[in-house]
Amino acid sequence: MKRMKLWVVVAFAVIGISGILVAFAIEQTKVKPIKTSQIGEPPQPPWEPPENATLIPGLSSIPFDLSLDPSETTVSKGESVNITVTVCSTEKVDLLLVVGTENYTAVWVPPELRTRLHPELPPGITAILDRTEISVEADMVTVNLTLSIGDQAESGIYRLEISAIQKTSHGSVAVGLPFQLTIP
Amino acid sequence: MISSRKLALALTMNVLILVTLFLPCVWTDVQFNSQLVEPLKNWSFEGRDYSIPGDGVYRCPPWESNNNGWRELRGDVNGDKVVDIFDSVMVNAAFGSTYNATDGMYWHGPPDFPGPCPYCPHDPNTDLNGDGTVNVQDKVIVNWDFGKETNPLDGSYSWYTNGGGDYVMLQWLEIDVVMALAGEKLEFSFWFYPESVAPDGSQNQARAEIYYIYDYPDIKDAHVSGSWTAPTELKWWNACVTAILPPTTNYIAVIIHGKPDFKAWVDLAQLTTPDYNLYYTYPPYENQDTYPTSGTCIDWVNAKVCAYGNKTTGQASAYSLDWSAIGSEREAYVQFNMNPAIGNSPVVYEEDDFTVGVYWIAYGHLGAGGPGVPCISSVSISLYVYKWVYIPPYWRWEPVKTYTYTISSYDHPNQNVTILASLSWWMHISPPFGSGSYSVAPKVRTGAAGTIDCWEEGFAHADFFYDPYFTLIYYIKISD
Repeated sequence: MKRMKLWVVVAFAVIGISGILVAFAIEQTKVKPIKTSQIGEPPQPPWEPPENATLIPGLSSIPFDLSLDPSETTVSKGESVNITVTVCSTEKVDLLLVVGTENYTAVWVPPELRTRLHPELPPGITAILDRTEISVEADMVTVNLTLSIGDQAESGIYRLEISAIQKTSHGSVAVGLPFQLTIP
Repeated sequence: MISSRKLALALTMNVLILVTLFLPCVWTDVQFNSQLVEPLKNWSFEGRDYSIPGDGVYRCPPWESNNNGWRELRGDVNGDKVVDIFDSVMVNAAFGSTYNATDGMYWHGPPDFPGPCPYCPHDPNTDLNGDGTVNVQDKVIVNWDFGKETNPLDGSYSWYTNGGGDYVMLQWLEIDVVMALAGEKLEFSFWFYPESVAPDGSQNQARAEIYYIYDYPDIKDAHVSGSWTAPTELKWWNACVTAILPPTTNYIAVIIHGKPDFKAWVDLAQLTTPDYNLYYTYPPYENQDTYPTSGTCIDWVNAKVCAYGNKTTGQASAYSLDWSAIGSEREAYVQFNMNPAIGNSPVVYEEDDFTVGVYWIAYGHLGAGGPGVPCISSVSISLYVYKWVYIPPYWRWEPVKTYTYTISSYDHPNQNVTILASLSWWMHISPPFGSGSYSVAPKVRTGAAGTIDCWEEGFAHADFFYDPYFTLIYYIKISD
């Protein structure tokens, strides 16, 4: 009988220890996401806005749109090409047209700085719009863009962006379209 | 008194339980989350090629080799790292069976067996040379390796290089992986166990290399090589190389390079991107949160303008500094390509039209400006829309439209501002865009610009904070 009791005690002890070890082992064997711990940054509390900040609302819609014809072309050195920029709008808008490179972000610039702060095109490529400021009133307006390729331009594929920028009461909004220029 | 036999039994049970439960804890190299693209195929050299009759054991696709080699051990049918009686029994049982394209298994058939044999189907690994039939050639391979053991670093097999001349083993990465890695820092490494070594390390040297082609169609290329690893003792050695790929990378190959007569076992080839560990099958490049983490300054005549970005805090600053000459003018800006949420860029397929949009909250200060003041600072959010198109020689995401919302010091000179940008637009994909797959990616830009006069009136500066992981959400909504 005494031996039986001892056996029961030992059995319970073995089960208990096994249980603890099993729980520990299960915790250890949980699959940890590979690499995901390195994704982004740990959550941080949002920044507090500056005191007395002016609240600037977002835009609900953009009333205008534009299209290019053609949207890509090949031009040899010493030659030029005409591109038709068509701007349409559902309401009256005054727009500024800008030609930049792919990395250019279309930002509205006040007139007094416009002649000095303009997007740079690659050497040898000149873009001339017959109008840079247009007014569209619930219809469509076409503007001619002339791309001229000088002899000093390097052969290759260039990705330009033609943007229409509207000045709003709080800032500006722009719609841009890519244009691929190939110089053989 | 408990018997020692029972105590031993209890202890044995405990040990067995522990071993069973802890086995999954053994270190394994899982290269990427299974939901993501596996950048390197057959990185543990477990697979072989069944499509090349009679030569399958000498192929380990998509690895290509200029100088033979084979998956070790060739005769290890069951992958238990030793060629023994069990492998022999499996080949004997499958002897005469042929490959069945329907299920990929090996079956006996007429005239040897009018019906399926009792042990059919047989493991494809019994066809060791991959010629479509388990025959005497497979038995020869088992007999040749009988009793041999190997010690792969990962899995059941490694790759044996077999010496010869200059040894090159390479793998071209798949195009979607290339697109994901373009512009990233890439690290390639592999392990090798030399068959023999010299005290001075002159035997069985190897190195890792990365070869890439970029700027298509100009076809520029670069070949980056790691240092030669010179083994001086019999153990597993690691060789690695790191390259920073240009954003215009079109093709990438990773290369295991051994000096002439390189005899070694190769295993566990790894490809990692230390700075960018999560990517998706087809991410637009702009969708990667890649830069900037530090600032840049631009010198312009006698002026200097600086822009700083801090990805961790989500702070972007741009200042005009050191103006010292009339006529100096320039702008500086800092941009963030953002992938704020842990989730893929939304993609829409074959819809008539859809909405793209972005929500963004930013807090900051705009410096001196206003009408008539020749300096300006700004902060903007841009949303790029991409289409998945085929431009020879490969498919890629091409930008088709950009929307930008800008707040500048012209309207809010020297003001603290909180921007709640909630923008959404309909995308009509009738010509010129056409049906297809579309995706979006946002970009935040902070800039400052001006002339010498800015110095007299105060800095043109923009200083903004935003929380890139919670306050910017971009989306595509499919029309109802």
